[in-house]
Amino acid sequence: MIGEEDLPVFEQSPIYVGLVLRYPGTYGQYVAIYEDDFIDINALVYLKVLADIEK
Amino acid sequence: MTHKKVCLALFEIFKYRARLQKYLIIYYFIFIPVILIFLISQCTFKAPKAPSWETEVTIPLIAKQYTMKELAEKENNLSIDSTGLLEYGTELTIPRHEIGNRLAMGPFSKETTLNIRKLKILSPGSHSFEYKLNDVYPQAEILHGQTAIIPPFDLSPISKNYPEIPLFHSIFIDSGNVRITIRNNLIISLGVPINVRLINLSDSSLIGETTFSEKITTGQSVSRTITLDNKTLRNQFVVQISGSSSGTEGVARFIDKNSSFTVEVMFSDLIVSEISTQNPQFNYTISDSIELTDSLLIRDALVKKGQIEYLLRNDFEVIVHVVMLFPNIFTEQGIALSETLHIVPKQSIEKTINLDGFHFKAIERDELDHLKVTWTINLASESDKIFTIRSLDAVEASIHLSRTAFSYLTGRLYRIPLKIDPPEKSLKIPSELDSLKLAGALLNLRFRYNISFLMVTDLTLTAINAKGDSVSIRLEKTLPAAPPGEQEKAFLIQLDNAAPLFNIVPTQIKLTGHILIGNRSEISTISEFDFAAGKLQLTVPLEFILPSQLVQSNPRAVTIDEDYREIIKDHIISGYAEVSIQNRLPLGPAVEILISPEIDSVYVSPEIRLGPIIVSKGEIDPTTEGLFIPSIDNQKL
Repeated sequence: MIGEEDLPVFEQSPIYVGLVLRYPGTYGQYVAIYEDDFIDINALVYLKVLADIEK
Repeated sequence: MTHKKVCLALFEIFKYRARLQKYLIIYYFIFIPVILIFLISQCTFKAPKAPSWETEVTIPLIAKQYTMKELAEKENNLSIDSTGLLEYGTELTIPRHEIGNRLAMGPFSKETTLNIRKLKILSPGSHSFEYKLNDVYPQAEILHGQTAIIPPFDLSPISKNYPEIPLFHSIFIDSGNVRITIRNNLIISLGVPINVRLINLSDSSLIGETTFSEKITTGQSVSRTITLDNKTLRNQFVVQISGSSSGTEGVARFIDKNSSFTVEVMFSDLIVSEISTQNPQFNYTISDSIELTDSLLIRDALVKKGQIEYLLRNDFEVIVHVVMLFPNIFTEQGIALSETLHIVPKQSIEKTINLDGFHFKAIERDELDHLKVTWTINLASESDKIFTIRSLDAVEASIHLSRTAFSYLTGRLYRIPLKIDPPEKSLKIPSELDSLKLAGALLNLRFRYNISFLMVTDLTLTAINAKGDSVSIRLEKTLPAAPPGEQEKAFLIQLDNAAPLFNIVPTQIKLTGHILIGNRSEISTISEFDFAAGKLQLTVPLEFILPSQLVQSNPRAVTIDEDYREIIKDHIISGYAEVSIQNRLPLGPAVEILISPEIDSVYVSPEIRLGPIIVSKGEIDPTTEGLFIPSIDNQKL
């Protein structure tokens, strides 16, 4: 989760994004990989911002 | 105007709307809504909604699809088999290896003492001595022509010279004998006893003697043998007889003084250990051989390179003529190799025979396991001096057959090693395959050759990884002989248990060892230009057991526009992430997204950690029985 304390990160540029995939293993079973196999990962961050109407 | 500028302008309008409202009420109620409706579908900001006036800034973190096909195209060593299964493959080329100088044997050496050993002398012959009655009984001169009784009497020693023997001056006899035969044609009996002695004339030494201890009656012939072992016999000796006679034994007989008895001296052939002679005429032949203990058994072979070095030393006191014959080595014209040498006394001869272009041939046996050499030694003097020749005198011979290489060979071979120059190859196993335990790897070793002998591969395929760990597989397989005359034969060796090579994630593979030619059971022909070559192909279907493991991507830089950052800095309220993952891999990873302003701290101390998201694995599609249907996981974080 993105907490309030995390938000200042997005005030900087660039920011660096790493991806960690932890494969659980196949528990001794053989598996095959085919050409069509894939993993597709999409991630977006949405930041809510507010106009300063007091100013 | 770009969307961004429009949005920023819109934001500025919102920011200062309080100040504007007292002047622009119409604008507030009419213009703004129109503008908002106009822009709401084009701007990445959501139009602020009353009463909060919030909007969203969207930052794309990751949009990446990892397909196995892309992986295959990116990696040179990955391909796709006919079923669509990914496989990893590499190959090693075994270059053409010609036989070259490997058809070789030796070196071999032999040292021989060419002595006479048994110096054989042909029999000095025989001679018969006649003894008349008046020689042994002088009164016969008086009684000649009368009938009388001769009383018993003693025979005084009577010596007669044996004819001079021309063969030698003297000999020392190892073995031999002389036969003494007495034929009595007298009217009296001879004995008992009658002694016969052979005495050298020059020094009166006794050569041998025998005693006839029975009476030799009229008309009787009796023989005795004298052994001459270890006796010296000179070329001049005497035969001496002595003894007694019993006369006419009281009976009156007609006396003929010319009646006689004979003593025959007959020599056998003699084996001597020493001979002194003025004119040595001795030939002797010694057959010898050099054992060819090697992996080649030659029936016929053409020498490409080789030589015989020999050293002969003459220990005789006379000149020797030596004929050295190699009955298994022939010239192109089919003439056996021979050398004739003359060696003066106590001297040596050293020489080299170049064998290039000669043939080695088996002549008495099917294959040449010994190289025969026949020595004919002829002793000859060139002066009147008396020479002594001893049976232990010799020509000392030393022969060295160098390592001999053949251009071609017909015969049997036994495991002639054709060393494979070790082909090796660096591998780059795709990092995605790290930590796999592969189910199987197929090894195809395709040989091409024209060698018409059965062969056995003695090869080791070794895989080495970056840590220095290694795994080896022995390839010990039989290659059938190529049909003689065929230009090329192909033969495939297959192994399906090469997976251990890849389980260590090798960075290098190499093939070492030999092809061993021949098993001694077959006779065939091989040439220096015959060859073997090959190609080793390794194919690894990507079907594996995968241990649990961690995969980290390289950190990706996401740039946030400076203007956005201003807005975020001043007006951010909250944030959330949406992660969508489709997975058609047969296992489901836990995915975490890490965010940091510093590249080095992304994985060490990230500012934001999204996840882990447990991704479902792809489900087996019941219609295709094997392919997976991708799972879809969407999470809001």
